[in-house]
Amino acid sequence: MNKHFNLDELEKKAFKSTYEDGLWDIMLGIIFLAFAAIPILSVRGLGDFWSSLLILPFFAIGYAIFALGKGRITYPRAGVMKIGSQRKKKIARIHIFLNVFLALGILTGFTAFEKFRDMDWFFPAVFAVLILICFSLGARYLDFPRLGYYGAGLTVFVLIGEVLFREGVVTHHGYPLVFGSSGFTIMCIGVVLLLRFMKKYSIPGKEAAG
Amino acid sequence: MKRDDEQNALPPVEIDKIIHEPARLLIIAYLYVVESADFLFLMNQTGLTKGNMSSHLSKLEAAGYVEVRKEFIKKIPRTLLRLTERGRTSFREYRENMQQVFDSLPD
Repeated sequence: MNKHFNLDELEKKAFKSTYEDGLWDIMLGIIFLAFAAIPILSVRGLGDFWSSLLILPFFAIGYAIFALGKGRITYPRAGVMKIGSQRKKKIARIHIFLNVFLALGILTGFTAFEKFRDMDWFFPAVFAVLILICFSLGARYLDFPRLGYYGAGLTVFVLIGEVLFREGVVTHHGYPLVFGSSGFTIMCIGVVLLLRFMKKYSIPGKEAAG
Repeated sequence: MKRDDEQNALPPVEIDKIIHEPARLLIIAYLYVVESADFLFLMNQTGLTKGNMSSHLSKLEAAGYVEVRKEFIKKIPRTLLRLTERGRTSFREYRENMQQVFDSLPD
Protein backbone atom coordinates (compact mmCIF):
# COMPACT_ATOMS: atom_id res chain seq x y z
CA MET A 1 0.00 0.00 0.00
CA ASN A 2 1.12 3.54 -0.60
CA LYS A 3 2.92 4.98 2.40
CA HIS A 4 2.40 8.64 1.50
CA PHE A 5 -0.73 10.53 2.38
CA ASN A 6 0.12 13.83 0.80
CA LEU A 7 -3.20 14.80 -0.80
CA ASP A 8 -1.61 16.86 -3.57
CA GLU A 9 0.62 13.95 -4.51
CA LEU A 10 -2.31 11.52 -4.45
CA GLU A 11 -4.31 13.78 -6.75
CA LYS A 12 -1.34 14.22 -9.04
CA LYS A 13 -0.77 10.45 -9.16
CA ALA A 14 -4.42 9.80 -9.97
CA PHE A 15 -4.49 12.49 -12.65
CA LYS A 16 -1.17 11.49 -14.21
CA SER A 17 -2.39 7.92 -14.57
CA THR A 18 -4.68 9.21 -17.35
CA TYR A 19 -1.57 9.80 -19.53
CA GLU A 20 -0.11 6.38 -18.80
CA ASP A 21 -1.81 4.70 -21.76
CA GLY A 22 -0.03 6.79 -24.44
CA LEU A 23 -3.29 7.69 -26.22
CA TRP A 24 -2.69 11.44 -25.86
CA ASP A 25 0.72 10.93 -27.50
CA ILE A 26 -0.80 9.00 -30.41
CA MET A 27 -3.40 11.72 -30.98
CA LEU A 28 -0.78 14.48 -30.79
CA GLY A 29 1.44 12.55 -33.23
CA ILE A 30 -1.40 12.27 -35.75
CA ILE A 31 -2.15 16.01 -35.52
CA PHE A 32 1.53 16.75 -36.12
CA LEU A 33 1.41 14.54 -39.20
CA ALA A 34 -1.36 16.79 -40.50
CA PHE A 35 0.98 19.78 -40.25
CA ALA A 36 3.49 17.80 -42.31
CA ALA A 37 0.94 16.89 -44.99
CA ILE A 38 -0.68 20.32 -45.41
CA PRO A 39 2.27 22.18 -47.03
CA ILE A 40 2.98 19.31 -49.41
CA LEU A 41 -0.63 19.06 -50.59
CA SER A 42 -0.90 22.83 -50.76
CA VAL A 43 1.49 23.00 -53.68
CA ARG A 44 0.21 19.83 -55.29
CA GLY A 45 -2.89 21.55 -56.61
CA LEU A 46 -5.07 21.63 -53.51
CA GLY A 47 -4.35 25.26 -52.63
CA ASP A 48 -3.87 26.81 -49.18
CA PHE A 49 -7.51 26.79 -48.10
CA TRP A 50 -8.42 23.22 -49.06
CA SER A 51 -5.14 21.78 -47.83
CA SER A 52 -5.62 23.57 -44.47
CA LEU A 53 -8.96 21.81 -44.14
CA LEU A 54 -7.03 18.55 -44.19
CA ILE A 55 -6.36 19.10 -40.53
CA LEU A 56 -10.00 18.15 -39.84
CA PRO A 57 -9.81 14.49 -40.99
CA PHE A 58 -6.49 14.14 -39.16
CA PHE A 59 -8.14 15.52 -36.01
CA ALA A 60 -11.08 13.18 -36.53
CA ILE A 61 -8.83 10.14 -36.95
CA GLY A 62 -6.74 11.15 -33.92
CA TYR A 63 -9.79 11.72 -31.78
CA ALA A 64 -11.46 8.49 -32.94
CA ILE A 65 -8.38 6.48 -31.98
CA PHE A 66 -8.23 8.32 -28.66
CA ALA A 67 -11.91 7.76 -27.80
CA LEU A 68 -11.92 4.14 -28.95
CA GLY A 69 -8.68 3.44 -27.08
CA LYS A 70 -10.01 4.94 -23.86
CA GLY A 71 -13.29 3.05 -24.13
CA ARG A 72 -11.97 -0.31 -25.27
CA ILE A 73 -8.48 -0.46 -23.74
CA THR A 74 -7.95 1.97 -20.86
CA TYR A 75 -11.21 2.02 -18.91
CA PRO A 76 -11.77 -1.75 -18.82
CA ARG A 77 -8.19 -2.21 -17.55
CA ALA A 78 -7.41 0.73 -15.28
CA GLY A 79 -10.86 2.01 -14.38
CA VAL A 80 -12.38 5.45 -14.61
CA MET A 81 -12.16 8.57 -12.51
CA LYS A 82 -13.53 12.08 -12.78
CA ILE A 83 -11.16 14.85 -11.81
CA GLY A 84 -11.82 16.95 -8.72
CA SER A 85 -12.84 20.60 -8.56
CA GLN A 86 -9.29 21.90 -7.93
CA ARG A 87 -7.98 20.17 -11.04
CA LYS A 88 -10.92 21.41 -13.10
CA LYS A 89 -10.11 24.98 -12.08
CA LYS A 90 -6.44 24.44 -12.90
CA ILE A 91 -7.27 23.11 -16.38
CA ALA A 92 -9.74 25.95 -17.00
CA ARG A 93 -7.04 28.47 -16.05
CA ILE A 94 -4.47 26.94 -18.42
CA HIS A 95 -7.07 26.85 -21.24
CA ILE A 96 -7.84 30.53 -20.81
CA PHE A 97 -4.17 31.44 -20.53
CA LEU A 98 -3.15 29.45 -23.61
CA ASN A 99 -6.02 30.85 -25.69
CA VAL A 100 -5.20 34.43 -24.71
CA PHE A 101 -1.51 33.78 -25.29
CA LEU A 102 -2.12 32.27 -28.74
CA ALA A 103 -4.50 35.09 -29.71
CA LEU A 104 -1.91 37.67 -28.65
CA GLY A 105 0.78 35.73 -30.52
CA ILE A 106 -1.26 35.66 -33.73
CA LEU A 107 -2.22 39.33 -33.37
CA THR A 108 1.39 40.34 -32.76
CA GLY A 109 2.44 38.23 -35.72
CA PHE A 110 0.00 39.99 -38.06
CA THR A 111 0.76 43.49 -36.82
CA ALA A 112 4.49 42.90 -36.88
CA PHE A 113 4.42 41.26 -40.30
CA GLU A 114 4.94 44.46 -42.28
CA LYS A 115 7.51 45.83 -39.91
CA PHE A 116 9.65 42.72 -39.65
CA ARG A 117 9.03 41.02 -42.98
CA ASP A 118 12.60 41.77 -44.05
CA MET A 119 14.03 40.23 -40.92
CA ASP A 120 14.54 36.66 -42.09
CA TRP A 121 14.59 34.98 -38.71
CA PHE A 122 11.81 36.92 -37.00
CA PHE A 123 8.89 34.62 -37.78
CA PRO A 124 10.67 31.26 -37.39
CA ALA A 125 12.06 32.49 -34.06
CA VAL A 126 8.64 33.70 -32.84
CA PHE A 127 7.06 30.42 -33.95
CA ALA A 128 9.72 28.39 -32.12
CA VAL A 129 9.32 30.46 -28.94
CA LEU A 130 5.53 30.12 -29.09
CA ILE A 131 5.83 26.34 -29.40
CA LEU A 132 8.26 26.19 -26.49
CA ILE A 133 6.12 28.37 -24.21
CA CYS A 134 2.82 26.63 -25.02
CA PHE A 135 4.20 23.13 -24.57
CA SER A 136 6.11 24.07 -21.41
CA LEU A 137 3.00 25.63 -19.88
CA GLY A 138 0.97 22.59 -20.83
CA ALA A 139 3.56 20.28 -19.29
CA ARG A 140 3.74 22.31 -16.10
CA TYR A 141 0.06 22.92 -15.48
CA LEU A 142 -1.28 19.62 -16.80
CA ASP A 143 1.40 17.64 -14.93
CA PHE A 144 2.35 16.07 -18.25
CA PRO A 145 6.19 16.27 -18.39
CA ARG A 146 6.47 14.51 -21.76
CA LEU A 147 4.70 17.47 -23.34
CA GLY A 148 7.62 19.68 -22.28
CA TYR A 149 10.14 17.36 -23.92
CA TYR A 150 8.04 17.24 -27.09
CA GLY A 151 7.91 21.04 -27.12
CA ALA A 152 11.64 21.40 -26.60
CA GLY A 153 12.36 18.85 -29.35
CA LEU A 154 9.94 20.48 -31.76
CA THR A 155 11.41 23.93 -31.09
CA VAL A 156 14.88 22.69 -31.99
CA PHE A 157 13.55 20.85 -35.06
CA VAL A 158 11.68 23.96 -36.29
CA LEU A 159 14.90 25.97 -36.15
CA ILE A 160 16.91 23.18 -37.81
CA GLY A 161 14.19 22.90 -40.48
CA GLU A 162 14.49 26.62 -41.17
CA VAL A 163 18.27 26.35 -41.53
CA LEU A 164 17.89 23.40 -43.93
CA PHE A 165 15.27 25.35 -45.89
CA ARG A 166 17.61 28.30 -46.29
CA GLU A 167 20.36 25.95 -47.41
CA GLY A 168 17.97 24.64 -50.06
CA VAL A 169 17.98 21.12 -48.66
CA VAL A 170 14.24 21.01 -47.82
CA THR A 171 11.09 22.80 -48.97
CA HIS A 172 8.24 24.53 -47.07
CA HIS A 173 10.48 25.78 -44.25
CA GLY A 174 11.18 22.15 -43.47
CA TYR A 175 7.67 21.65 -42.00
CA PRO A 176 6.99 18.31 -43.74
CA LEU A 177 10.26 16.96 -42.36
CA VAL A 178 9.98 18.63 -38.93
CA PHE A 179 6.35 17.79 -38.21
CA GLY A 180 6.49 14.48 -40.06
CA SER A 181 9.43 13.15 -38.08
CA SER A 182 8.19 14.64 -34.79
CA GLY A 183 4.67 13.33 -35.31
CA PHE A 184 5.91 9.89 -36.24
CA THR A 185 8.28 9.77 -33.23
CA ILE A 186 5.57 10.95 -30.79
CA MET A 187 3.13 8.44 -32.26
CA CYS A 188 5.68 5.63 -31.83
CA ILE A 189 6.25 6.69 -28.20
CA GLY A 190 2.48 6.56 -27.71
CA VAL A 191 2.23 3.07 -29.21
CA VAL A 192 5.07 1.80 -26.99
CA LEU A 193 3.38 3.32 -23.92
CA LEU A 194 0.07 1.77 -24.94
CA LEU A 195 1.66 -1.67 -25.28
CA ARG A 196 3.36 -1.26 -21.89
CA PHE A 197 0.06 -0.17 -20.39
CA MET A 198 -1.71 -3.22 -21.81
CA LYS A 199 1.02 -5.45 -20.43
CA LYS A 200 0.82 -3.81 -16.99
CA TYR A 201 -2.97 -3.88 -16.70
CA SER A 202 -4.71 -7.00 -17.87
CA ILE A 203 -8.47 -7.02 -18.33
CA PRO A 204 -9.95 -8.12 -15.01
CA GLY A 205 -12.77 -10.63 -14.81
CA LYS A 206 -16.30 -9.33 -14.45
CA GLU A 207 -16.10 -9.71 -10.69
CA ALA A 208 -12.97 -7.58 -10.35
CA ALA A 209 -14.82 -4.65 -11.82
CA GLY A 210 -16.55 -4.47 -8.49
CA MET B 1 -4.09 8.94 40.30
CA LYS B 2 -2.18 7.04 37.64
CA ARG B 3 -5.40 6.52 35.67
CA ASP B 4 -6.03 10.30 35.75
CA ASP B 5 -2.56 10.91 34.32
CA GLU B 6 -3.21 8.40 31.56
CA GLN B 7 -6.48 10.09 30.71
CA ASN B 8 -4.80 13.50 30.68
CA ALA B 9 -2.20 12.11 28.32
CA LEU B 10 -4.88 11.22 25.78
CA PRO B 11 -5.39 13.80 23.08
CA PRO B 12 -8.34 16.12 23.76
CA VAL B 13 -9.77 15.39 20.32
CA GLU B 14 -11.85 12.54 19.04
CA ILE B 15 -10.33 10.55 16.21
CA ASP B 16 -12.78 9.00 13.75
CA LYS B 17 -11.90 5.31 13.90
CA ILE B 18 -13.68 4.54 10.63
CA ILE B 19 -11.33 6.86 8.76
CA HIS B 20 -8.28 6.16 10.94
CA GLU B 21 -7.72 2.65 9.56
CA PRO B 22 -4.84 2.98 6.99
CA ALA B 23 -6.56 1.28 4.03
CA ARG B 24 -9.78 3.24 4.54
CA LEU B 25 -7.79 6.42 5.00
CA LEU B 26 -6.15 5.82 1.63
CA ILE B 27 -9.49 5.09 -0.07
CA ILE B 28 -11.13 8.15 1.43
CA ALA B 29 -8.10 10.32 0.59
CA TYR B 30 -8.31 9.30 -3.07
CA LEU B 31 -12.04 9.93 -3.17
CA TYR B 32 -11.47 13.30 -1.50
CA VAL B 33 -9.19 14.56 -4.30
CA VAL B 34 -11.29 13.31 -7.24
CA GLU B 35 -14.93 13.90 -8.05
CA SER B 36 -15.67 10.19 -8.42
CA ALA B 37 -13.89 6.99 -9.34
CA ASP B 38 -14.84 3.44 -10.08
CA PHE B 39 -13.89 0.37 -8.07
CA LEU B 40 -11.23 -0.75 -10.54
CA PHE B 41 -9.50 2.63 -10.61
CA LEU B 42 -9.32 2.79 -6.83
CA MET B 43 -8.12 -0.79 -6.63
CA ASN B 44 -5.26 -0.05 -9.07
CA GLN B 45 -4.33 3.21 -7.37
CA THR B 46 -4.39 1.94 -3.80
CA GLY B 47 -2.93 -1.50 -4.50
CA LEU B 48 -5.59 -3.13 -2.34
CA THR B 49 -7.08 -6.49 -3.24
CA LYS B 50 -10.68 -6.81 -4.36
CA GLY B 51 -11.76 -8.43 -1.10
CA ASN B 52 -10.04 -5.78 1.00
CA MET B 53 -11.53 -2.98 -1.03
CA SER B 54 -15.03 -4.43 -0.82
CA SER B 55 -14.87 -4.88 2.93
CA HIS B 56 -13.52 -1.37 3.58
CA LEU B 57 -15.99 0.19 1.17
CA SER B 58 -18.87 -1.55 2.91
CA LYS B 59 -17.80 0.05 6.20
CA LEU B 60 -17.42 3.46 4.59
CA GLU B 61 -20.80 3.10 2.92
CA ALA B 62 -22.44 1.99 6.17
CA ALA B 63 -20.99 5.06 7.89
CA GLY B 64 -22.52 7.21 5.18
CA TYR B 65 -19.13 8.43 3.97
CA VAL B 66 -19.16 6.88 0.51
CA GLU B 67 -21.93 6.67 -2.04
CA VAL B 68 -21.83 3.46 -4.07
CA ARG B 69 -23.65 3.32 -7.38
CA LYS B 70 -23.73 0.25 -9.57
CA GLU B 71 -24.29 0.51 -13.29
CA PHE B 72 -23.84 -1.53 -16.43
CA ILE B 73 -21.84 -0.21 -19.36
CA LYS B 74 -22.12 -2.48 -22.39
CA LYS B 75 -23.19 -5.35 -20.13
CA ILE B 76 -20.11 -4.92 -17.95
CA PRO B 77 -20.83 -4.03 -14.30
CA ARG B 78 -19.18 -0.91 -12.97
CA THR B 79 -19.21 0.32 -9.40
CA LEU B 80 -18.95 4.09 -9.16
CA LEU B 81 -17.79 5.57 -5.88
CA ARG B 82 -18.14 9.10 -4.60
CA LEU B 83 -17.47 10.72 -1.25
CA THR B 84 -20.67 12.02 0.31
CA GLU B 85 -20.86 15.49 1.84
CA ARG B 86 -20.77 13.82 5.24
CA GLY B 87 -17.68 11.87 4.24
CA ARG B 88 -16.00 15.01 2.97
CA THR B 89 -16.75 16.90 6.19
CA SER B 90 -15.66 13.98 8.36
CA PHE B 91 -12.38 13.68 6.46
CA ARG B 92 -11.71 17.40 6.90
CA GLU B 93 -12.44 17.12 10.62
CA TYR B 94 -10.22 14.05 10.84
CA ARG B 95 -7.33 15.96 9.26
CA GLU B 96 -7.79 18.88 11.63
CA ASN B 97 -8.00 16.58 14.64
CA MET B 98 -4.90 14.65 13.64
CA GLN B 99 -3.09 17.93 13.08
CA GLN B 100 -4.05 18.96 16.61
CA VAL B 101 -2.77 15.66 17.97
CA PHE B 102 0.58 16.08 16.26
CA ASP B 103 0.81 19.76 17.19
CA SER B 104 0.28 18.91 20.83
CA LEU B 105 3.14 16.37 20.84
CA PRO B 106 6.40 17.58 22.42
CA ASP B 107 9.40 18.04 20.09
